[in-house]
Amino acid sequence: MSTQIKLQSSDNVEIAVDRDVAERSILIKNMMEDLGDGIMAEAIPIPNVNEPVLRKVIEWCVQHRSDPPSSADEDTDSRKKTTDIDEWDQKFMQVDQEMLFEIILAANYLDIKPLLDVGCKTVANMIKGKSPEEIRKTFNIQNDFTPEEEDQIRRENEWAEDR
Amino acid sequence: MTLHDLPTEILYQIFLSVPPASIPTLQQVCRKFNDLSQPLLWRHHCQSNYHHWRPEHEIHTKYAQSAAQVNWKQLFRTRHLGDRAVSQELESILASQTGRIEKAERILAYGYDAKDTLLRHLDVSDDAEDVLARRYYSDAVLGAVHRTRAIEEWIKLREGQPVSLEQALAAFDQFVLHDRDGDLEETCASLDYVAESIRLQNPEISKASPQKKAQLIAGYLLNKKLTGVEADSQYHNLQNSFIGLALRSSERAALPLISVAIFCAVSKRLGLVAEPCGFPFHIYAIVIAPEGHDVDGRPLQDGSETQRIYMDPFRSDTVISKSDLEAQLKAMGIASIDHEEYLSIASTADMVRRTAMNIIKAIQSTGQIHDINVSAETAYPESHGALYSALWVLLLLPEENPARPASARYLRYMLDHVEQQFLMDISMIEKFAIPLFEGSQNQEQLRETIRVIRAGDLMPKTVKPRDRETLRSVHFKVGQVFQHRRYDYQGVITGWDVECAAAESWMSQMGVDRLSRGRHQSFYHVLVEDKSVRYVAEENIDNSPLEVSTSLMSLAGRHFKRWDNTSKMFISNIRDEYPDD
Repeated sequence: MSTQIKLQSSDNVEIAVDRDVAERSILIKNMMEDLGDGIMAEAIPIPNVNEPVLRKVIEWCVQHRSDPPSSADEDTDSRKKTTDIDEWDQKFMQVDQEMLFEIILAANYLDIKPLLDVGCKTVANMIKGKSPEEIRKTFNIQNDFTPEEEDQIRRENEWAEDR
Repeated sequence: MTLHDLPTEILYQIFLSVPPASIPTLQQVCRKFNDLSQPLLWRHHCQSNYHHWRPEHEIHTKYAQSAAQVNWKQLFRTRHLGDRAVSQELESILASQTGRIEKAERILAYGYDAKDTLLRHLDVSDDAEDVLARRYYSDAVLGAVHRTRAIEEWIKLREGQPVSLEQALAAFDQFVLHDRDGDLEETCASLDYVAESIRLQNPEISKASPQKKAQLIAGYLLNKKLTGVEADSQYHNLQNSFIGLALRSSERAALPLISVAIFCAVSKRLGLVAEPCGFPFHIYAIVIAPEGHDVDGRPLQDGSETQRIYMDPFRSDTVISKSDLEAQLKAMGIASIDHEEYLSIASTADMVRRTAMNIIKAIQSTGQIHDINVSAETAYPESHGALYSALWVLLLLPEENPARPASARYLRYMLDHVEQQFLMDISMIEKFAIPLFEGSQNQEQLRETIRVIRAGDLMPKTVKPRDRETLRSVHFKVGQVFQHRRYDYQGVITGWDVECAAAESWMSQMGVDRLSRGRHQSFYHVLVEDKSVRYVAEENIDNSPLEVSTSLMSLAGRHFKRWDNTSKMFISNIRDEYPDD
């Protein structure tokens, strides 16, 4: 059984996790290496992530605790297949947009690249195949172009439209 | 928190996950998104979506520049639109038998930019509805793309422009490549990699003397099995004449000429001047000391001649004395006055010619090319492509004065090759071969032959439906596989006539009237596993069930969509001609 460490969320809740689970986060892993085992006595503060999000991130790390480490050099081809998200992750990502973006931010801050990838792919899949207006609607974004600008940008980008 | 509020670097991550064709849509959403699609993003998509670029793009120079210096979005747009256009032309080639030459020509206009698209179609899954046809025609057009690139190098050589030895030789690989790795660019990259590996393993090499360097390089190449041929293999194996194959093979597969070319190319990358030496029956390398120094790196006295040493990288890493070579020449009965010629640097064109001759020798030694030798047909490199490359070299780089009209000796043979197997090359013949016959009567003949081939390609096929008469007299259908009763070969039916429709002369030559059912029986156009096309009387068709050979399977895409295991027949892709078969 792996040793446990404690993480402290931004809203001051302490959560105990197995060390190998926490070390899915490269940030935490490096911290442990730099500071040595002494750090384990106290809770590690995670100032940017609140309790619900941190629990959600830990849930992902538990599920993926025995994944092989992702290769250091980013594999350009792995990005290409956007629909390529495994079933458990797809379910995991069925959350409201607020939570989805919080998870992405937390994954970025904690340096958990595979989780960041899954988050980005999830958003990419929500974008794919939609018109600009549908995208605005989906994500509640204001159209801040003047009609002239909008017209110009549309003409510049006509080439990509699938016929 | 909304998508819009995410920090730029995270939005950028998301944009990287979006299919590139959706990015322009994203740019139209709001200002922030529009500003975000920086050159770096488009550069990433160029790099991850497209691996092969036509040389005019100078893509490696572009990658080395900072992203903002290149209009990556424009470049991606060019490729994206090209990709779509090439796919459309290919679909059209698959859909109809008419106008395939012109459609292929339009794809060829994209040059190497078409390669990624064609490779993708070639990689179609086994259960695709038209898997055989799609693979066959994307391979056929890709072959023409590869060959055009090769011929362009040889034309440069012919015109006296600089072409490196390795590129001129890698051009041969382009003729036998299909969807495998190892094209011209990749061969040059392999040589870069070998040179870099030597540098890493021998950090002191940059300071070594020319002779020491040469020995280090030759030793490394032999040790890594990049030069020489296996002791137990045939010296004149066809594969030993392809530099790209030699570099990728796990065994030694490089004739002396190829070994020397690899040695010279790697030497050049490590700052050492080495050139091939055109010795009779063997190729040596000449290593030339830099001006003002001897081969041991010591300064020379002013006015001394440049020093050179001879090596045999095919066999060893040691230096060969010039007197040994002279003794060899003497033993061959060559007058000493001519020795200097055989001991001096050979031209790249000469090396290309000698490779062409080696290829022809290898094919001759394995027997006739038209033999029904199925295993040889599926072997790599396949002899048809190899022979075709050699024919182009004999045409483009003749030993005699290139200003004279080219010899028509190989032309007939070459045109037969083109008509039967490389139909997509017609425009290459027009562009590169016809000008060689300027001022000779062969030029007109050649033009006429091509005109006939083109007209045939543009003419819609006469539709041959099944009416009551054909149903009664034509018993077999397009797509049926059979064995010839007398000659045993395996073939597939690609067309039929109610009775023999060949010319009278052919009928008398073939003895059609001596057949038991004579000329008034149905006759079939058939495609045979050895790539030939024949015309067979119904009485010679034995359609008892048989195992379809792999070579017939790969050829069948010319006329058929796929193999149907239930009906044990090929599914027709020539319904425009035989709507009811």
